[in-house]
Amino acid sequence: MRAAVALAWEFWGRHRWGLAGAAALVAGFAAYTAAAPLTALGATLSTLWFVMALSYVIGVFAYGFEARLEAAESGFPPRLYVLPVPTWLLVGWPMAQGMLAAVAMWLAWDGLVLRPAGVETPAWWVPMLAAVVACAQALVWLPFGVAWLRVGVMALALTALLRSGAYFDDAAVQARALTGVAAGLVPAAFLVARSGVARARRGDNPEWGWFRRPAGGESVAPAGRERAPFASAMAAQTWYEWRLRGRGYVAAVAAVVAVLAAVALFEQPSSRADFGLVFLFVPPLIAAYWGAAAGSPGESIRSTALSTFAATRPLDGRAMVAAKVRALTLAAAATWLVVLAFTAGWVAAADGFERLGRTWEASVERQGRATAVGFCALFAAGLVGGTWRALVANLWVGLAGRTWLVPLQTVVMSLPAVYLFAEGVHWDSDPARRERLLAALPWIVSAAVAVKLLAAGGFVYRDGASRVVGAWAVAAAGLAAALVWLVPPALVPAHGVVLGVVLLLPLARLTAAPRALAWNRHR
Amino acid sequence: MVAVPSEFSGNVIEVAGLTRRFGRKAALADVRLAVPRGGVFGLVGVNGAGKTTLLKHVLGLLRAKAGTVRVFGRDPAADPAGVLGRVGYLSEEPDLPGWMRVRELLRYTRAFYPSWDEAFAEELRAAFGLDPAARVKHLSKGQRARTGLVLALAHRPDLLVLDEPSSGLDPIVRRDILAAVIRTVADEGRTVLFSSHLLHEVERVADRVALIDRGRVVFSGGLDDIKGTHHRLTLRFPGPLAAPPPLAGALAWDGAGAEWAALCSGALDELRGAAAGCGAQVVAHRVPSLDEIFVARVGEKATAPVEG
Repeated sequence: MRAAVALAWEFWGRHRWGLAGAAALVAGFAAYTAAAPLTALGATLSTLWFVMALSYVIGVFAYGFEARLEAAESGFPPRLYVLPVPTWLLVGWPMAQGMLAAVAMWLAWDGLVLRPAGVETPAWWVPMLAAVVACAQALVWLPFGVAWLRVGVMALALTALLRSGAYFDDAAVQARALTGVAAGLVPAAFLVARSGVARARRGDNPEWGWFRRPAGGESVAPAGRERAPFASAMAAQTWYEWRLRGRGYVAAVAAVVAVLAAVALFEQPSSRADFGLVFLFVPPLIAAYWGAAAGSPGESIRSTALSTFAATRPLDGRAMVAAKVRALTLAAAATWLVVLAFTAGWVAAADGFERLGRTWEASVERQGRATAVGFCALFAAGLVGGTWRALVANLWVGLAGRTWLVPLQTVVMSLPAVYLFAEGVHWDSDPARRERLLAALPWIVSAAVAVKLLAAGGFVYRDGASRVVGAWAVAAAGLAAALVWLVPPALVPAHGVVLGVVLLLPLARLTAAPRALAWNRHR
Repeated sequence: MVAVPSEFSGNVIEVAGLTRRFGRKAALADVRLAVPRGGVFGLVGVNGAGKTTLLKHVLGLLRAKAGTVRVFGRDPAADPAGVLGRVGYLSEEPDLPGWMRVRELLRYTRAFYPSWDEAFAEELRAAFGLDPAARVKHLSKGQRARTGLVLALAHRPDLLVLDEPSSGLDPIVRRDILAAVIRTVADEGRTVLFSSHLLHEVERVADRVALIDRGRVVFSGGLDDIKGTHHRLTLRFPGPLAAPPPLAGALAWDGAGAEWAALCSGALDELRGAAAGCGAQVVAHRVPSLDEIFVARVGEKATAPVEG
């Protein structure tokens, strides 16, 4: 009993602030709803925040923040193996707590936020949520014989579970069937997890190296190629960053696109071509997550301090940051090559080019060829540039090597979104408030631009980054010119476009990166 | 504005008035140290004495908040590339990137050092039995230490910094490390800064030694000078004593009854005179080991710190 209390304390004590934050999010929305009920759309959109909090809670109870999902070994913390506790308790207790916490959160959200807003949810979601938590835990803790296999299996299994409702037409049948499936999955997940952790506990991690081994031959480490020396220290450092952070991003995007493609195969043939558009949004979406960790200087994305090995490279901070940016730029370019090639093949296979051609002709007819080409180029530049921006804009947070900066930055960057969301709730119902906001918008944007340029100027003055500033100015001028040409002045005036571009293109945070690294490297 | 003429003064490292606090604890307190060019400089002290903190300042991994640190006349935190390009470093737990293969690690590291000697690197790799295709994370602790040693030596650094390099390693690896130290200083003008609490190793290879205790340099000087000013005297008193009498220069006592051994600091003649003044006869004298001096200096019976 005391062992169970101690194991529980590790979750609730260690992650008390995060779990309290998740509870506070639910309580905050519930209080807001009690005071002024949300619309059905508002409640549904707010559920995105809930999903983020729920993902965090599942991560906590799956030991997800200390596991390396891409590793072949079990993600269960080895430090717990030496405790004098049976494996069923090591596995079952976190599973029970994870399922209870997730279900309690959902019931609170459903009862206090969704239902008052008139959003009805099926009852089978509760057991299915428990099953999703248990399966996620089992997959994190199960040793796989090959690196990265877990990521693919998790993506497929969890997507299949989350989309399970779509496979039924009759609601009653759906409820009965999926409740039964969930009820069966929970004990199955426990047994799988128990078996996997028991195996890992006795050091019996599987090695599925058979596909690299010649038939009947011995398993040998690949000798690797003898390669020419790097041309320069910068080339070596770029390679290092590419291996550490760059190619993983390409693989992650490819895996997500592959899973989406697998899901799309179950769709009606007529709508399969539409998934081509969905694929195009995967790189920037994954980049938003990847970029948050890309600045992390260590081998693991969770490591904050620079390893001594990395810190003692005879390279100055600006060169180290430049290498990181180069590697991520390379990753963005490689990713888009892969995604574009796959999407083109997918659309061709789904006979989508004919429809795409008709859409293009209609667009040319409506807007003129030059404008249509301009919008297409802007759309493409927006996706590719947005991907790059998401990858590099927040490098400074990871490079600074202070764990407290991550939540601080998240909160600060979320504040405008929260404010806009609050304004959006009253957008139609309070015209006077809307007019006040629209009148203040130019001042708010101008103030933000001033703060950004002052901050960037400060960093450039202290560290020097004339090439970055030059490249930024060229990109900003080009983008602003294109937008001024394409966007009707009645919609957004030219000065508004320019201010928006200045805000959009990263400068202050990029120029802050070397200083952030120095703060970490020379403590 | 980082160049100061310390290279012209013959010192590779100059530390002056360096103080560093972590919270309320002073990790370093007004440390002054000069490491001359050429030879092996041993930095000794118990765990937590401040050796690693001092070495991190030398490497620029910690910025001097009070006092100054100059390596080759430069501030290592302000000019890391200029300093680290001439330094080879090996720590107790070399945190090498585990995902790299040994061959990749050598190829990667080579790019940073124009002076990299590929033939020497290959010679060391072969001598240490390192498989170029092996991943670093699959190497044993001793093999990782050897890999780190190859990386630290192959560019023939002007300054080799070793932070507790042989702690927890088997005698074969420790021998390799000591051989590397000797080999490095065989090249004229190269310097080794060697931190350890394995004093017999330091004693074997060091020309100069500094003892750090609770963040302060207790003494610093040539190993011969230090040993020349410390003596272990065996004293015989006329009758049994419950405790040894006060003796000028005595750092530590050991014994019982009428015969006591004192580890003393000072000139031998003066110590003999002081012993006679206490009514004792010096029946034996020998030069103490560095280990004994260390224990006497930092043990509970040690006297107040003295700048050596």
